[in-house]
Amino acid sequence: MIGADALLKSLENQGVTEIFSYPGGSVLPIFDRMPHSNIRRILVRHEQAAAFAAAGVSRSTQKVGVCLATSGPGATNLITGIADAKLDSIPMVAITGNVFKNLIGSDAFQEVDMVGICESIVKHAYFVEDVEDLPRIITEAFYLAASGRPGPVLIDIPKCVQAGEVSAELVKKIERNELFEMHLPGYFHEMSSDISQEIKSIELIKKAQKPVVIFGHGVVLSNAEKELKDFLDKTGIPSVWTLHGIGAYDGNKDLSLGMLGMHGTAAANFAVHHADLIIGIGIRFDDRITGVIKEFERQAKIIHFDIDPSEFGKNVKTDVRVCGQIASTLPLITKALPKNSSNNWKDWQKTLIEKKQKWPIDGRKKGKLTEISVIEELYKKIDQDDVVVADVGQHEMWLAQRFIGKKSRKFLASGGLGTMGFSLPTAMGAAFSGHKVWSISGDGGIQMNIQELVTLVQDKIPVKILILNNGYLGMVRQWQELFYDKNYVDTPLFNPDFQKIGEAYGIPSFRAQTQEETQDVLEKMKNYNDGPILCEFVVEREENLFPMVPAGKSLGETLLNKEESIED
Amino acid sequence: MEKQILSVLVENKPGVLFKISGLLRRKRFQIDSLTVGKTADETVAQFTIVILGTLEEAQKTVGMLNRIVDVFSVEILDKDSIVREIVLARLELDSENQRIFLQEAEQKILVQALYQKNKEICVELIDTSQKIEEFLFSIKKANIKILEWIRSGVIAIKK
Ligand SMILES: Cc1ncc(C[n+]2csc(CCOP(=O)(O)OP(=O)(O)O)c2C)c(N)n1
Ligand SMILES: [Mg+2]
Repeated sequence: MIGADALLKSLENQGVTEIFSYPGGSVLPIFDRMPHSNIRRILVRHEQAAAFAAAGVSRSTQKVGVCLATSGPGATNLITGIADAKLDSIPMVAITGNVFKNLIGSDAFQEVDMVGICESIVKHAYFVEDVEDLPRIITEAFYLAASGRPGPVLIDIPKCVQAGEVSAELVKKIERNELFEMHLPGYFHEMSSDISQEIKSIELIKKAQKPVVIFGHGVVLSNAEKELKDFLDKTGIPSVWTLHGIGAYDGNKDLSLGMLGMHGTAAANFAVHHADLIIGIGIRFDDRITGVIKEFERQAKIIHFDIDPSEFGKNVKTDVRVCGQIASTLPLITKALPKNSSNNWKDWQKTLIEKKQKWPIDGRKKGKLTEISVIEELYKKIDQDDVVVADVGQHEMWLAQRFIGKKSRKFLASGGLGTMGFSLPTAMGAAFSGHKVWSISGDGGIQMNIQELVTLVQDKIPVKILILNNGYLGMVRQWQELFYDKNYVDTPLFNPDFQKIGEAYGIPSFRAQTQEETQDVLEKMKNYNDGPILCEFVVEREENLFPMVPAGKSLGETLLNKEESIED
Repeated sequence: MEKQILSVLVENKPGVLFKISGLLRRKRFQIDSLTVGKTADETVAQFTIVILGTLEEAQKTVGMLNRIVDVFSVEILDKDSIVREIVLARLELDSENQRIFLQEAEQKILVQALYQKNKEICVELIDTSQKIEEFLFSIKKANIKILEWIRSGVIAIKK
């Protein structure tokens, strides 16, 4: 048994069933042995897509996705996907080959210092010195990736280690799937604050008149949806969510006010702006949701629940910091609050329900096909188990504003890094969840990983691909319109014929230009499961995305359209 | 500017210095001094890091440093902790006055002469950073030529 076998066997022992990969000189020993493994290989056409697809597995399931690339350019191509996973706290294991150990540091052909390059975008990075360490490192890597605050882990393996002979003793252990003892003496991921923080939270909530909950990705990552529901249902505290909190609680409830932030709903932004108590649950108060910080902190007390102590006070001043697994901290509070506590905020609930009715998410316009109308049709078609994967741009926010699901892990987006080209490869990974997957991209973003169409065809991966073609890098165009005097520099796009492109790849492909065609095609797409299917929607070119909080403004200054804000 | 001293215990293995200094750079903390050494337990190394900034800023680093998998603990040391630095210096003494100046410093146990060769004297000085700054100021004032001046960086221990 050589290192490559030990690696593959250890991955199998971790429950890995597929690897998104691309070969090259420095990973030849691994590829040579892959046919002997039960793990399915998916040959991507660009390593960036391998990283996104691996994270797509993790985002849509509770598994840890795996990608594999060769040294040098293969490895550097992974980087955008690794950074994307880091910023969204997505567990993932990225494996790279490297040159022979005796060549490391010599600027050898296709040598890059991956461990060094990735230092700031991984949770942890390994350089495997000795083949005997491999099984232990694999065990640790999966554990690190998924526990505490999740994140990507890099394992860089020199070619000689992949090809190195494994000792008989180790072979036995691997084959028996024996546990490898981890050596992580510095890793304390289950830190928790003392009970005083919970007690303070309870006091603050009891005193509040206008409380609001902001819930986010932390709830999903720690599978605390039920605990959140118990808390919200019992207390009747109105709630809003972050991009990654979508679906963690039923969005259809009266007091579910919508997504918060720069393109959040007016009611959600209003609620947070006027609240006297903000309860952040599994969120990091990033600048896309807070608007200008001074105004955000202005009048509300803030309680923050999170697993990562370094998040406390990082962006906003918090009054109470409850550290630990949300599933274990939140129930203490739910239990301690009296059933009738919502009497204190009856008026507040009423106001917010009125606001929600006053400011519905803006509807479609008559006449031309708009992105909003396509998205609204799409949402009529999808089942609650379907996964929707947005790219980055206007369409992403329109999708996010309107996704009112009851389940988490069903709306996937590149939150922290905001990476165009995210949707198609992420959807490819998400298809391994066994659910139907819809990939929605703009005419800009689709081109950034369009090469993956052939992967989907080759591997018969059933992704429903929507291209919303507004002829622009729409999101940037909108900023140019609003803040740069319509100086549309490099945002109008000269586009290929996307339908023909799809056909050239061998994908059933369509184009829709009207409402009727849209309904038809979406129905076809919904019922097609034999592999990828594609449609380009030719939509209104200069549709603008609102609500919007312009940079440097507060949530209270949310614009409803070009002229009106929620203050008026 | 205010200074804060962090005492960080880490697993003694390659790459940890890179992670710690990288993190401080990324978060734009200014490092005034950084020293590393093995502890009595050779599997554990200890960093003493002096950063320029307020206590509040230093507190932010605690959580961030703790997130590094190889870090065991991070502590901000109190102001009354014992702080030491070592200077090794080669000086050139050109006049009788300068010679006397240094002898006095030696008598006050400020410095210890390690060797003397013609005009050149090598001294060692172990003290607080402030005392070291004061001494540097005074030898400059005495016009003593500094051939080399090497500081170890700060180590500190809590009371
Ligand atoms: C890799 C990358 N490059 C640039 C950007 C900046 N950017 C954000 S949105 C956007 C426009 C996206 O256009 P399109 O894909 O057509 O979507 P639309 O906004 O039109 O819906 C750009 C260029 C980005 N987010 N990611
Ligand atoms: Mg576009």
